[in-house]
Amino acid sequence: MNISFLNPFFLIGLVTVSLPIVVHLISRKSGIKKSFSAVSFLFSSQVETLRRSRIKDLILLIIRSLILVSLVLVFSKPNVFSLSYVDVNDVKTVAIVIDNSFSMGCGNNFKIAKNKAKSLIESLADGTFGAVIPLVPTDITEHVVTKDKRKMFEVLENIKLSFSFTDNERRLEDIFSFIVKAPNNKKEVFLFSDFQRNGWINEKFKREWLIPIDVTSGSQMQNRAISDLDIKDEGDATKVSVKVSNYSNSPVDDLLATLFLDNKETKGFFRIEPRSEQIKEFIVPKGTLNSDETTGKVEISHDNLKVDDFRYFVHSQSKEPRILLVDGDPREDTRLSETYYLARAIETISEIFPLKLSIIDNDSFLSEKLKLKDYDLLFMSNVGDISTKKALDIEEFLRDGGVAVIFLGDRVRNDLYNVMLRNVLPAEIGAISQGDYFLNANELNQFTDGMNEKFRQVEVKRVFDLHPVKKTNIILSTSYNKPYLTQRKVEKGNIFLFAATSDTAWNNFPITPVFLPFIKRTLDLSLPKQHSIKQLLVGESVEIDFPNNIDEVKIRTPSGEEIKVFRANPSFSHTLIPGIYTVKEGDKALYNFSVNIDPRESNIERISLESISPRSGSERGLAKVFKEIWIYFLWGAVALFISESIIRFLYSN
Amino acid sequence: MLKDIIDVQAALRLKGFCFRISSRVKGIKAGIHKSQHKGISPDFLEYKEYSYGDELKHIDWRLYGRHDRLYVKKFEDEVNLSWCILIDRSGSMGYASNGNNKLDYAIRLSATLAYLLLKQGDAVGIGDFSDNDLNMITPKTGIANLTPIVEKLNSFNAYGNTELKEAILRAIEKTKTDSAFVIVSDFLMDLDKIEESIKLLRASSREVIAFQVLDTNEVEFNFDGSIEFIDMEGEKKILVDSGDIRDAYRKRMKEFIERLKFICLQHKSRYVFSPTILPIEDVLIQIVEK
Repeated sequence: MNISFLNPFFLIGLVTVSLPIVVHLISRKSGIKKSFSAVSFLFSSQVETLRRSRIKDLILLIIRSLILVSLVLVFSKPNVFSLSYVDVNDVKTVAIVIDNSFSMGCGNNFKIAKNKAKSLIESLADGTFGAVIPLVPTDITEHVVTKDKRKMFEVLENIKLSFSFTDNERRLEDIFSFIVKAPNNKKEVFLFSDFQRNGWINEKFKREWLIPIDVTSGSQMQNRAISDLDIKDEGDATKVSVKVSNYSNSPVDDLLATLFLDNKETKGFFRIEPRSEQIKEFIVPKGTLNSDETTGKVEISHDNLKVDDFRYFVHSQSKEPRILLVDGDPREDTRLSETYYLARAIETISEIFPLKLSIIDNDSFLSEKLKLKDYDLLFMSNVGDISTKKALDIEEFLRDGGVAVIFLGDRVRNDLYNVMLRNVLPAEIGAISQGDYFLNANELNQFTDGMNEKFRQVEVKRVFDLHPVKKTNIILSTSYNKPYLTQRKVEKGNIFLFAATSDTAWNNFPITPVFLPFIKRTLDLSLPKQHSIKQLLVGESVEIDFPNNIDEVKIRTPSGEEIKVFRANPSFSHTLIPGIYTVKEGDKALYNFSVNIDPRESNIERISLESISPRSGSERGLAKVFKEIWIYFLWGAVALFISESIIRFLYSN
Repeated sequence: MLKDIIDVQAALRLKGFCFRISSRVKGIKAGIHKSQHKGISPDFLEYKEYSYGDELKHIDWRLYGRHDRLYVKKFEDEVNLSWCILIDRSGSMGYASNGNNKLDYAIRLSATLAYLLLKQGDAVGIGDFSDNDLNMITPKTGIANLTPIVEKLNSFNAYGNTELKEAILRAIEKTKTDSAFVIVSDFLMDLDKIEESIKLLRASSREVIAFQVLDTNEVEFNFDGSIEFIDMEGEKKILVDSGDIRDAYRKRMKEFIERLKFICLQHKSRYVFSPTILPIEDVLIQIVEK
């Protein structure tokens, strides 16, 4: 904001300001002289009136001087002018883009950006079209190009800080494409931003139409943030790893970090070198946690940018995977049993990965007491009998996210399997054929990734012919190109079908080096059913899990808003603010998930304005926007004159 | 000359009135003032039971008829009084706001009072004080004493400082006890000194009447604008904004007058507020017996 005068020669009148002072001084020295008899009374009276009198004199002196200053300014006709990128005579179409990324919440940057944009809108020439648009897309997806400044102000007021991350360059290109269709030939995009490196992928993003307006003082801002958080169970403890990044050029000493978990606080201190990061682990004994699913957050001491000083998380305590082995051909000598190799492999894995193994025979499997939902992984080895009830149980087990692995054998009746499990089997089971095969892995399949060569060591002598159904994934084939291992996804679950046995009667697969890794990968597939660490970033969508028989859930956001989500469209994308989101059925909380800000926004290192626009030079292309202000001084003089009269009247009475 | 300084209108109006004092005095000539001795004046004082030696003519026979005992009537004895009028002619008494100077007013007041007192048969003396001087005509009876008094009054000029206590001490020496002192002054001095002076007079059995002569401006401070005031009894100067100081001045002057009144009352003396705008008859009428 600058000031200029239309009649500057009137400013000479400012010397009159000295008049009241001179008059005051002269009048003090040249009072009328009078002889008086009661002078001693005057001395004693003056003591109590002197202070009051001096204050009055001073006030009147100031007011009288200000009256003269105001009158001089009225006659010299002052104007204030601001330098604006918009010439009042230049008719064009502009997009006014406000950077509303969360880094703008640092200090008063967002407010300054809005105020600057407001001034810009005010100075737009008549006939200029404008669109006010947030840099990070928000709920306001409809953008309007208008000549109505009130509408522009309205949109500007409604722009709120977003916690999402955006690709600035792509967004600015989109915005320019949007205004290209609008009237007027000349098009410009004004960007009010703090110009931090995070949103700019290509630092040489130079566009003639882009006018960057820096809302900061230009100095480098300091920031530190929780940039990552990992939580996992290890033995009897839950380990929370917190990564804190120091984005400033000075070291951070004794930065306090507090873990809030299950109403308990654990504190730790970080000491981080400039522009580096540190990971610290918080160990929480499992026994101290109240429930299987706990919510928590980590907080560090606040800096100018508070929003990235928090990180929320939801942790489900992992349970040991429960594995059911159904042995269709049990023997007294366990080494001869169908499940011998499977059991050994699982026991080996259990040494490093806790799990729970149950081995039953075919009859027990058919028992109604056995509930498949109590297990996460089902191995069926050469199981001859399958009841209708059990077949339906298997289907439900798979739909709920269970993993089933079926090994065939001489006890298996292919027609029974084909009928009972027709809805889930990856392949129709055909006749047995004999030969001398080895195995080939499907190179595109990630399941066998890294083990393809080793499958060639597997020798197969007898197999069932498998005829894959639609959407079946053939993982392994025999050297005669017959499917050996097929896989099918059944809703949330997976089913694997081997063409041979799980013992060494038909093949040597169980005694080859690939058997153990294969079983481990199968086991891993069943883990998502056990526990998931649901950590999302702001703006990301999530597929909501619906429990059985529930078609509608409500999601309570951290702001207390409740949004309905239906099974038919389970995608939820209203993750606009960081915090804990709760999935509810009616009033009953089902589970939680956490949403955090994208840590990329925390890096508030600035880029050079020259690098993104050729028009970023200090005052290039600026126009002066004038506003007359002499009338304010006139009103001021009148007000001062009235005040002077009132003060004089009050003192004289 | 007499007409110049005696307020004729006041003298005529107050001619029939008596100037009396409240306490008894030891006079030597018959006058209007109550004597310490019981005597033969027509004013009845009290009854006394008859005893040997009492005048038979004073026996109240009606009382004897009623009580069957003899009582004699006792009467006041009346004597003349000696008055000493002391006039302050210090510098401050020269102050005049509308040409009516305080000393002139005090002279006219004193001359008129002296005339009236001489007329009622009292002895009147007059003195003026300023600095440590006291020039005094000792109290004498007879209207012929008026001439030297008036001549003396005519010679007064206002100058010097007020030294009341010194003047009182000297006046006590020159007057007899049981006289009355009339002090005509503006009393613009230290109140403690005034109190000491009155105490001295009262301790020596002298009645005191204090006339405080003040100008309207001294009471109301009706000045405007910025004025440098110069003390009439010294070198002091003060520059004040009259409007600013007026309220505080009036408050202090009022307090001073009230305090002076209280001192007089406390020492059984009379205080008469005598602003120069008040006619002399209105001032003197305050001390006559009604």
